[in-house]
Amino acid sequence: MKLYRFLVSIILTLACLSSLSAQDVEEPEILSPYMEFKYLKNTEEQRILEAKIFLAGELGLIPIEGLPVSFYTNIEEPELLGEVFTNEKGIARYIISDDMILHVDEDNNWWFYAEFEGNEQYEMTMEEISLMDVNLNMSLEETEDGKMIYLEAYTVQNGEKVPVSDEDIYIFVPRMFSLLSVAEGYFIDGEAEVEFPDDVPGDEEGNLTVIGRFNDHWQFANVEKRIETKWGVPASHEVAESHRALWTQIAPRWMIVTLTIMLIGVWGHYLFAIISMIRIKRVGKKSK
Amino acid sequence: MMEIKNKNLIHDLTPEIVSTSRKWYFLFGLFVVIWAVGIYGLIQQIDKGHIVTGMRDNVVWGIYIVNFIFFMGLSYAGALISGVLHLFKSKWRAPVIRFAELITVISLCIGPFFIFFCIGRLDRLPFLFAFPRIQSPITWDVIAIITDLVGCFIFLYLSLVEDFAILRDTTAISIKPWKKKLYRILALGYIGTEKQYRIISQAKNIMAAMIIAIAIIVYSVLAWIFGVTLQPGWHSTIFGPYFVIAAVFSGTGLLIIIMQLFRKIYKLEKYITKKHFVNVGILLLIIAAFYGYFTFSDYLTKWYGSVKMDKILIDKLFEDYYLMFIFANYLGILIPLIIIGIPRFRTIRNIVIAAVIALIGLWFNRYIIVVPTLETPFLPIQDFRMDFIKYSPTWIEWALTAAGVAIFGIFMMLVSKLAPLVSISEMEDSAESEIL
Repeated sequence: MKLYRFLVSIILTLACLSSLSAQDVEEPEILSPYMEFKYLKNTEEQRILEAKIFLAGELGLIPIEGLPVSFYTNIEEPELLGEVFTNEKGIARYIISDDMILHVDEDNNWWFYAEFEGNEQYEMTMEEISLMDVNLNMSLEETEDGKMIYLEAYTVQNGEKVPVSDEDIYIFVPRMFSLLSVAEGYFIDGEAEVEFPDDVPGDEEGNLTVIGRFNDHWQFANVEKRIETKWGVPASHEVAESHRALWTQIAPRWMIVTLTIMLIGVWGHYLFAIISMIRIKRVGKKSK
Repeated sequence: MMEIKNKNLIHDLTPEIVSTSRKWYFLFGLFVVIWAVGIYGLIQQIDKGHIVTGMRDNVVWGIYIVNFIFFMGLSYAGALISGVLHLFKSKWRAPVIRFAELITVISLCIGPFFIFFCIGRLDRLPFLFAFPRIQSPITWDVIAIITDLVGCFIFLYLSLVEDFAILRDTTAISIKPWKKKLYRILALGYIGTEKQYRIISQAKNIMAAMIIAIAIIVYSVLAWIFGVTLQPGWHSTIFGPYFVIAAVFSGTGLLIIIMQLFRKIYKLEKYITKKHFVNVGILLLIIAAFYGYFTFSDYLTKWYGSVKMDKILIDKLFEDYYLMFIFANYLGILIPLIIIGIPRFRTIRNIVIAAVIALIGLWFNRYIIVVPTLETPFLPIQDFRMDFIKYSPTWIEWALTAAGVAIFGIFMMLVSKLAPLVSISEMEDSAESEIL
């Protein structure tokens, strides 16, 4: 009986400890999420508003799914564009329709606002963005000087084209997880010229996508143009002849020798045991 | 003709070979139902994919791998125990050794199935055999498991030959004709001549030595699958011996439980006595001490080193996995040590309780080795969801786990219909005064 008392007391102690720690943890707590708000004008001239809601955890950013995000425009008389729920990546994406006429302020800027009103689990969070619409054109040409990218950018202010000047533009190529910046240019009087590097890997035929982009620009936010071209270095998947190592195609000799000796040793003994069984049978027959 | 002096042995040790009891049908039916639920879960998993499990991008190894390691550990423990008992000719081994041999083979047959449950693209499995890279610990594991399985089958079969011969020739019990025919084939014409006895003893000795060596190598290989990675909690130089000791610990626990179960069901109290429980219990005690030492040493060095990821992992073990950690690494070791260590507590019931605690503790130990490490990746992953961070097994995974235990029971019960669970020949050979 003493043993059972001992076991029961240990289990009870543990249960008390766990309930104490559970009390600490289970106190209701309203979490404070963060919002990232972005504007993108893509290569098809679509205008996209993207709000991402997440918690900052010890191991990284934890997206929150299923929260309603309301998108507004017009800073003077806020006008609801629409409401979108965040997906499993915590992203709510709203595409502004082409025929929508957006209100511009006195500085010729559009104003957008995204808001999550909050609920019993998460606090309210919001972000706003103000930007000027810019038109971007891009063309590619191979010249004697190399592979050249020509860019044009202008804004429309009071019905007139105003060339973009003194602004940086970046050239990207898409890679597995994100866009890789490979070159950058500078606008003077609405034009920029950028040389594309010769050593960017493409697919097996050298195809790649060249992206000219105002990237998180202070005035234009994100605006991009994409063109498919064969300017990449064709990727080769041939496996180079390699030396013997743990990490190459062929194993080190010592490893092959060790494994072979061990396997021959073990399976040799198995063979001996099987032969013994056959001998038992033979001896049995003879004895009869 | 194989004849034995003590005719009662045949009668007492073959209850289910002659007839089938109600208890047998009930237990078998229960195991089949549990197994069927597992199969239903498996069909769901195959139909809908791994999304029905708790496994996600970070935790790609859930309780399937925990079960794989656990069952393989039981198997290697069985091999080590049966091999050592055989080689050292322990006088008390006779009623115990067959259970250890059966645990070895049956666990070894079940364990690898959990790998299949875990693989998302089963169609790629043949590539392991078609394009093996011998530098890969996974390839070592495949080779090692196959080698071990064949070796353990041979050893089990060799130890059964004499019993098959006894059952073939006996008139003490009535055996169905088809079974007699089967025994005639399986007995390999063994009639117990001096030459045959010498050959079979020699073969058994060699195989006993081989399976001890193979069990150590194979379970070390399994440990190295974890140890050779740089993951926090896994990258440890002592993982090989630590896994081997843990395996023997769990296997000894299971051996005690199985001894008690079949002792009760098949009324073997006369043959499996308190002395056997105490002897196997003392084995459990010694192993528990070693296992506790290895566990302490492994965690102490990681904690003291305070490498960032190790620190995060150990904090997680003491917060999110507190109860499991305490049960696996404190209670699961200390309770068996206390129960068996204090002579006053050494009753059969207490030893079985200690074994159950040890076995459950060891399963949890496997869980906290596999899962928390995968929940602590080196690279903080952007945009990962809550169920990607925190793994929790679904009913399908639990159902397949229960099915694994059930199929173990089914195999044991099926074997009991064909072969005695306590070796008749070993019992006959052993000193009767010692056993009876």
